[in-house]
Amino acid sequence: MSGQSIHIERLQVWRDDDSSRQCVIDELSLDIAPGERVAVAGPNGACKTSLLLAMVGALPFSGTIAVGGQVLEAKSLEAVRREVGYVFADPADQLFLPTVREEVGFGPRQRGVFGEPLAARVDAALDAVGLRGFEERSPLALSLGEQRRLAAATVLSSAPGALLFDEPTASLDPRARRAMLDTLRALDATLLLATHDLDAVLDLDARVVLLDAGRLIAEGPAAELLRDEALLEQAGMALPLGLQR
Amino acid sequence: MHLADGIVTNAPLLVALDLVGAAGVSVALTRFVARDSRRIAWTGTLAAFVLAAQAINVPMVPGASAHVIGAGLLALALGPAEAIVAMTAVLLVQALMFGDGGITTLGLNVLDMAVLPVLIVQGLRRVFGETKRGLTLTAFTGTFVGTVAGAAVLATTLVLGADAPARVTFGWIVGVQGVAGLIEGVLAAVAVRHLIGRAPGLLSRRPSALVALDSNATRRESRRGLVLAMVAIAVALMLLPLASSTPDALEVVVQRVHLAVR
Amino acid sequence: MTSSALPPLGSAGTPFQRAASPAARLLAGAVLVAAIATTPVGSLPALSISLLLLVATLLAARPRLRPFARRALPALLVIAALVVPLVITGRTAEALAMGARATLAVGVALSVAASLGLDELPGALSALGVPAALAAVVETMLRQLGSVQDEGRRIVLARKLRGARGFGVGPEVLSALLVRTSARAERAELAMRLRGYNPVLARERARLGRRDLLLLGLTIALAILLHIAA
Repeated sequence: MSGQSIHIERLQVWRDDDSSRQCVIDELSLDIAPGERVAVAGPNGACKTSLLLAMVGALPFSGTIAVGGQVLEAKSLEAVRREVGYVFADPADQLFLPTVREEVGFGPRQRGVFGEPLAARVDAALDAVGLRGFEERSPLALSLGEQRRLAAATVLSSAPGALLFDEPTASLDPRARRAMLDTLRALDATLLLATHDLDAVLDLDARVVLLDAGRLIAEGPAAELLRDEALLEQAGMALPLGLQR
Repeated sequence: MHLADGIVTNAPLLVALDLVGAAGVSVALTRFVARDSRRIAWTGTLAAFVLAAQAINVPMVPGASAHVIGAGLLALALGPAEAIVAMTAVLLVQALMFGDGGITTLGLNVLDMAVLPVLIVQGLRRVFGETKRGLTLTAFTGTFVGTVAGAAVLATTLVLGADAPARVTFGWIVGVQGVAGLIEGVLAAVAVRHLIGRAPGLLSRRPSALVALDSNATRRESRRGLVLAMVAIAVALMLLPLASSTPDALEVVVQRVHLAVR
Repeated sequence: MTSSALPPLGSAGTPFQRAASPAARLLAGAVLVAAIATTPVGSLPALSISLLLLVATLLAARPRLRPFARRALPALLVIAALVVPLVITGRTAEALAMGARATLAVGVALSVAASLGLDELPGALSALGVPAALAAVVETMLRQLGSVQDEGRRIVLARKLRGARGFGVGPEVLSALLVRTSARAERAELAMRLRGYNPVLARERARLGRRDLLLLGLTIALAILLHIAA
């Protein structure tokens, strides 16, 4: 499996709301190997999204974040962002062009790819998410599941080494959820998912990092960690349906 | 109210006023760009808010539009430079794509419905302060005065430039817009009260929590914009005497206006 | 940008669109409008030629009738409002002449608008010398308009379904929409930047080119002709 490594050391993240700087993530350290799948799990308010946002330099932070060995700072922002694809929880946040083709082509075009290479990238990205044939459709006319997959395609077309997904399966019906999980499973990059869908985490056989109120409380393979009912309850979560008797 | 093409016959006057409007935008753009280039999407999206609010609005009074509420709210939420740029974007699209407001009168309309209302709201904000009461008062007074000021400029333009009858023109345009201004002022004030309750951070215009590493101020366009603005004003001043065929005629018209407003 | 937000006025791919770049079409339109708007009031030759120019632009741009009429109507009402003072003081003939001139100008403006796609506008503005920052703001505004409008309609609907009465947009709707729009603005900005958004590229695609010389030359000639005849 290819992909970039991710190294996080003593990370502290702030949200700058309402006059006080609130520390949202407190002293988080995490190492992700190239091509590995990691799920950051926790209830709402566990600051999962803040972690992802910090990793693309969108929130103030202290500590170290490095992608593929490159440390994230003001100078290296553009370079790191080329390596990291970010898929928002709400696809409407990142879909703003009239057709699917233009959406998927936007990223590479901004970085100077045109003509044949661009078309090839668009086709490959749409193939990866199972949306080939949707090229001329309007993004906002697609179903939520299709929009989520399209949002993934819009970052895949830039061929990043690491992909960050914020709640990729939220609000999806079973079929759409299945399609999304199939897409995620087939991706050839380092994956970091923020989610509270523990069944999806099991399905993807990811490594689990359990967060609660910004603190890392446990870490381990999904099959093991997600059986610990007491631990999950402590973190405000419940056993995945797939493990309930 | 927008001024359409082909109403004002006095070319030098129109060009002069267009230049003043353009100068205002130029200065605003200067401050806009120099501050933080990431404001572009922020400003653009809020400009979309003004256009969208208009599209779903039911016009209550002929000549009323959501413009001045929009200008006022944006001035409070975005800051004067961004608000002027946002309103200019709105007026540009309305003129070029909807025939709402003329192409030859764009500068004037920008002056009327972007620059003046925003500056008035900004000025009143300094007077009334940042308390809940102060901001509400600013919203009401700023919207009302901004509407009336814009209407006065429009009426004056019509009188001087289209040889319109002074008393009737002022009465009609300032009158109608004045009523609209009162209603819109109340709406703006109530909206601001809601905003203070819901999202106090919005009106204090603190920089966005997101995009922390991204701030890259660019000073490239700053000097050029200011220079352009000064040139524009200078040309406008030179054109104004030409706006009247003889100095006497201008005096007569000014007298008529004076009579009308007394 | 949903198609419901701002339905296209014109038919796509007309010869006019293929013959000239967006910037050229915009410039030509502005020149014609300015020419018509500055002819002397009440000059019959001027009005006749202006009418011919309007017909020519309509034939070139071929706008769809209903959206065209829908956009023309408010513009006509504004013109009517502006000439009311003249009518009140008995200068009806002058008012009509002014109104006619303004109407012809608006007609030409809307025809040109019909030939211009909304996605072409920012690039065209940029190519014509509008500062990059302003063109970029216009671009973002047009992109977000559909979503913001949809959001506004949902807020209005939600209120109505809970029993609210009265016209669509009141202060609560405005403030709610403003708050949601601001939050959207932050995320949209970030989303674009994360995909390497670069405003310079839009300008490159819409420069004035050699093929535009014909249209621009023709337009300037017609403008001069109009003023000579008037």
